[in-house]
Amino acid sequence: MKLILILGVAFLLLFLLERGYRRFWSKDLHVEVHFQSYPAREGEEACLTEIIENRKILPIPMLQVEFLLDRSLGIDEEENASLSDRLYKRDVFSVSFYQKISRTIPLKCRKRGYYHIGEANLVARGLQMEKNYYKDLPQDTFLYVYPGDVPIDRLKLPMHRLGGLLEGRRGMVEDPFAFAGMREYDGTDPMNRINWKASARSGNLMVNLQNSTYSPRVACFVDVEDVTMWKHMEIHEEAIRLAASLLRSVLKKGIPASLYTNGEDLLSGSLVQVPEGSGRGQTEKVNRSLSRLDLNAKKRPGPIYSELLKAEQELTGTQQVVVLITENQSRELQDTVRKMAVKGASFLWLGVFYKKEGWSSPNIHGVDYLKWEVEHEG
Amino acid sequence: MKDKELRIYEILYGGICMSLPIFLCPGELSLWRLLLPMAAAFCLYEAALRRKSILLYLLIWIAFGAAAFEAGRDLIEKACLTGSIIFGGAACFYGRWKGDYLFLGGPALPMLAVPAVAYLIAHVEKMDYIKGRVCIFAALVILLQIFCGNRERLLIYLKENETLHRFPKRRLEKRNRHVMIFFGVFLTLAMIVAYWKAPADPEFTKSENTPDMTVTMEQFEPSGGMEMDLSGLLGDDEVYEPPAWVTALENILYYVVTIALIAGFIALVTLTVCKLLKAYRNRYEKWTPEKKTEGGDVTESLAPPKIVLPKFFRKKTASEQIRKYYRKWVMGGPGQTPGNTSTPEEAEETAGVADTKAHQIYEKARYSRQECTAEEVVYLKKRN
Repeated sequence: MKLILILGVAFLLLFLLERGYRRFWSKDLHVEVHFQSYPAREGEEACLTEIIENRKILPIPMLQVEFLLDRSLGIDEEENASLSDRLYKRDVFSVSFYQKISRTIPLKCRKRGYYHIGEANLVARGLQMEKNYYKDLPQDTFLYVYPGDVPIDRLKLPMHRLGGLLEGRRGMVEDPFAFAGMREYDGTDPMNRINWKASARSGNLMVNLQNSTYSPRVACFVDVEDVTMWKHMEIHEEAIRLAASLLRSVLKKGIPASLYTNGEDLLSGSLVQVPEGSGRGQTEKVNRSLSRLDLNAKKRPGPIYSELLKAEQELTGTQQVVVLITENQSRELQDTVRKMAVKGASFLWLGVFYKKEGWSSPNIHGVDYLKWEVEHEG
Repeated sequence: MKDKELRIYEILYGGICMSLPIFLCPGELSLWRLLLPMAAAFCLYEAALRRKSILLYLLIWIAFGAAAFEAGRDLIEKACLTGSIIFGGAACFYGRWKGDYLFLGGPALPMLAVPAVAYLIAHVEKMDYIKGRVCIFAALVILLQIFCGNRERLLIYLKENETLHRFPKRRLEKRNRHVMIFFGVFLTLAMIVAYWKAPADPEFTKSENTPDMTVTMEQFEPSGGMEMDLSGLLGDDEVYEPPAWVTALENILYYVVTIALIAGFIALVTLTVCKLLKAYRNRYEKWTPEKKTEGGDVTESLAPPKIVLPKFFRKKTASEQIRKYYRKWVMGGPGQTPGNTSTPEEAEETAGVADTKAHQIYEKARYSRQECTAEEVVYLKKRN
């Protein structure tokens, strides 16, 4: 009897302790995986933080945290990750009672995008290291990786062309309330323009300059439709980078800008379009929208000329400069642009092509053309 | 080379199995006779594990066999001891031949069948002295099986994952060790309580229909007067006296081991109590959770905020120590005793002591919110 009781008590205790651990190991255990709070840019580094909090007296000798990341977020080779269609990250912790562990993992933002982690899987070993216990914890963290910048020396040319178009739209009518500066009097200036106080100070006759009543605005159309059966990802990515760089520069100068694309938003599924606006908030909206532009959407993008036609009245009625970034040279697109140019719209057509591809600019009056070459990554 | 801890468990298991025959011998248990199979298990296991020559192995085996024979007080003890050494040597040899170096495959629960059978036989034959011993044997087998199994699984897990970046190998081993200590202590206590509180074993009573199977010696007395003197074989009247050196060695070993065990127990209890007190005090000494960085991970304690302990239990802060030494310094001055309402400057003047630095340190400790340093405490302590 004694022996039976001893054996019975021993096995019962082992069973109960293991069951107790199985029941309570995940209680008051908080696991949080979050990206850094601010967005990153393509090519920069970001960081991911894992926080494990064990707010109870029961320690967890072995805890494994796993989650999925997009392949485009690079991790150091030494970090614990395996790469297939996605990046599987796995980390092991040993958590004592009432302990918090924080681990920061550096990430390389290889590609623009919207990255989200929705779930973390926990695996704990039993007290005797025999059994595994599983739990899935929902997470909700995201990281925006904005499109990278185009090199400044390359961006100068399209910016100059754009600047030229914007200046060209400037009308002859001056705004008497918009003071633009002063210059020395020349014989052709009217007397009512002379600034007598400034003239007295400087000793020479000085006249006021007024700004134009023209308010420059830019509408950027980005075409991500594939013109052949092949997907030209590098061209589309470069087009997005170019649009982002142009719009950032334009918005920095205080010029209101809008964005239209025929690509789908990763989250909402609707077309990526940003109504006109200006300022820092608009820059953020443009960056985020372009980050979420999904080039792998199941639905094939529609032709960009249909977006142009939708906005035709606004583009031709107001004095906007339209920047069209596209690989497309179709007749329908050319006809649409020709029609709108005739009605008064100003176009800067940026043709994005691979380096070795030939391109002949469509000959449309009132449209400025520029070829933008992209390296083929093979 | 095999893991150290695993080797200890396997040696202990081998030693315990080899000690089982002597466990079952009647008479008082001798520590010397229990240690002999343990020592044999250690030597044979190490010789097998280190792949020493078979000749050395055989020599060790024979030496222990001979020592076991000499150590037995009577024929039964001699047989048990020698038999256990022979069996143990063969089992270790088999483990070496198999390549796993385990004594009969290592600690396993089926081994519990042996004490179970022994217990049953002891109960039937009314040999109560065996019951307690086999219970101890069974408890040791269970504990060793748990520890050994856990250690093997841990080692496998560590090996599978040791290449992981920032893998907390040491922390994992440490926590696992703590868990196993807790397991061991808890299980041992539970088994002790179970044994103590267990009801008495049911007695077997004779049924009325059972024929009387009592056998008496008269039935076996041969007719014709031929008598056989079996006393020499049975050893009823004769008790074998071991050699004097064996007895002396046994006594020495007994005292040495007893003293070592008592000293070890006292040291263990003292260490445990000290660690507990220190941990208890440390927990309440920290104002803010302490952040540590280990291998790139930042760890911090989430323990509930501290409660202020009574002065007696609390370690004095630097400011409190400075105030204490300053008071001693001023009160020990050559002049008059300063009044309770005196300012520090007045007190120093009255007491006839003067030290600008000590005064500044005291004012910092008494009136400012700044933390005082250990050097400042030492300075004031030296003033006394």
